[in-house]
Amino acid sequence: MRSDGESDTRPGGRPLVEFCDLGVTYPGGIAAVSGFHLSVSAGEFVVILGPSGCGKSTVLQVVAGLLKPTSGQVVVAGEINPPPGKDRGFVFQHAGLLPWFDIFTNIEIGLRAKGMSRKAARAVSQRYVSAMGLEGFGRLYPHQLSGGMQQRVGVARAFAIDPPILLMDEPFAALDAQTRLLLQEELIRLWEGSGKTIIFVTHSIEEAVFLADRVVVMARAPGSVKASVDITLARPRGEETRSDPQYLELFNTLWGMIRRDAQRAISETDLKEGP
Amino acid sequence: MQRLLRTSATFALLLLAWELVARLFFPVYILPPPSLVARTLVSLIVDGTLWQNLQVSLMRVFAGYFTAVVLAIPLGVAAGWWKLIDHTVGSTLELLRPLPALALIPLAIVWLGFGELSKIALIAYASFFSIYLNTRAGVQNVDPLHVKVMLVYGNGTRDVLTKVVMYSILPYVFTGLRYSAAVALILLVAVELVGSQSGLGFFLVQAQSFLQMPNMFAAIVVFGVLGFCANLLVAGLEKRVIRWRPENRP
Repeated sequence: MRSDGESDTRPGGRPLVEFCDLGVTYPGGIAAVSGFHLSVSAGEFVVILGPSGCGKSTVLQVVAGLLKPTSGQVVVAGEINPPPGKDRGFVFQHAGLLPWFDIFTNIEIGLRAKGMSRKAARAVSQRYVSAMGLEGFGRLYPHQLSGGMQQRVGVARAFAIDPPILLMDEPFAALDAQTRLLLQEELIRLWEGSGKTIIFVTHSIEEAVFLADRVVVMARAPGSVKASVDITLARPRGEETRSDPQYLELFNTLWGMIRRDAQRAISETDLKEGP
Repeated sequence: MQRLLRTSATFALLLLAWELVARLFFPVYILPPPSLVARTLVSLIVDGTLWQNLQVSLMRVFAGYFTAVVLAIPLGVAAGWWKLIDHTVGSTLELLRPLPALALIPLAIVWLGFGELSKIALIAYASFFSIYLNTRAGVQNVDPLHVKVMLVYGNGTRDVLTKVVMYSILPYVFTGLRYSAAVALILLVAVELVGSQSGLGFFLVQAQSFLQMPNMFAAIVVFGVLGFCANLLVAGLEKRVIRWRPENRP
């Protein structure tokens, strides 16, 4: 375990995504992120963990190219502050499916943007519909699917463009607890052995420990890296991982780190929402 | 089913009351009974008078309404999407909007004459605003998440417009279309009452000047049916076009 808070790379891995002194200040002068350093190696599963309002989603949007940093930079595969591109897939918190397109067409959004023909794109989306256990749902509209099914489509859409980097913004946060566990297991199965680099944002400690190679804990106001914890749990992971004694130990370590920040976040929301 | 029964019973009762009141207390040139109105309507259909006038009216209202749709939807999208257009063209339209279209009838006649052009132009003008404004509001209410999804997967502005905006504005556009259909009908009646030698409205004025009350009532009924059908048509089209469940409606 390291808690140096500085940019660090896994030994042996070459950095694929590198944040250098990243700062994002929103109009109005509120600094969401400041002095954020992080280096993510190729093939690494990094989870950014932090209480609500710590700027973790902001960081992800910068990597996606949806947001320009106000200071510092992010380097993705050698490119500084790249615009959105097909080398990065993105999974949104609320699936973000287009309600007027059926499931197939939703999965094909990235493929078609890459210039793939309708026919070739359909072949790929059919493959992912099967892989995600969505057989028979391809021609349905999103509103006909449960939240869990919708997010499976969101994940399928990201994997379908076969990007080296996947960005996931609290993808399971809006789901019920059981669906959430199942989708975590499905994601880890899809990812293990795929060689993809994942940056996954969450406020759930269990989720972070279960999924990550490394958990990056964020401090809030403004957001910066507070600590970096290696998750040495054995892979492949599955439901038995959750009963590993080390799992609980890691949970407690991380909880100890963010407890105070979380408490502060609660009292601030209380003030904001109070009478 | 129960509702249908109660409603139709009420209507039957109302008609019966009208029939009785008309027969017992009023001469035909004040209040004709519904049975006479119905008979008049049938004979107007049979001798072709109705269709002759209706044809002219339908042509006018369709031409005007269609012109409004063709102008209002693209302009609404443009004003909703590009601030520059909203601040220039949009503001100008905003300036014209409070003007009651009926006040423009004399002007339109002076400028465009007593022919079809002035009538179609007035119907188009009045129908334009609701479609335009609703379309514009639809664009402004596009879910930013949907735009983000498109951008993050490498789509450009064109794809955002054709795959997100075009769809998410539809519930708004249809609200505008439905409202404008009613407005178009009002304008149709107005322009045909004021300066017209043909059409259902002209037939209505003629009936008035000769005190042919059954003809007048028949024309009013036809206008009512027209309004009903217009609404049905737009609603039917909406159901065919919007097959998903829209997340937000105006």
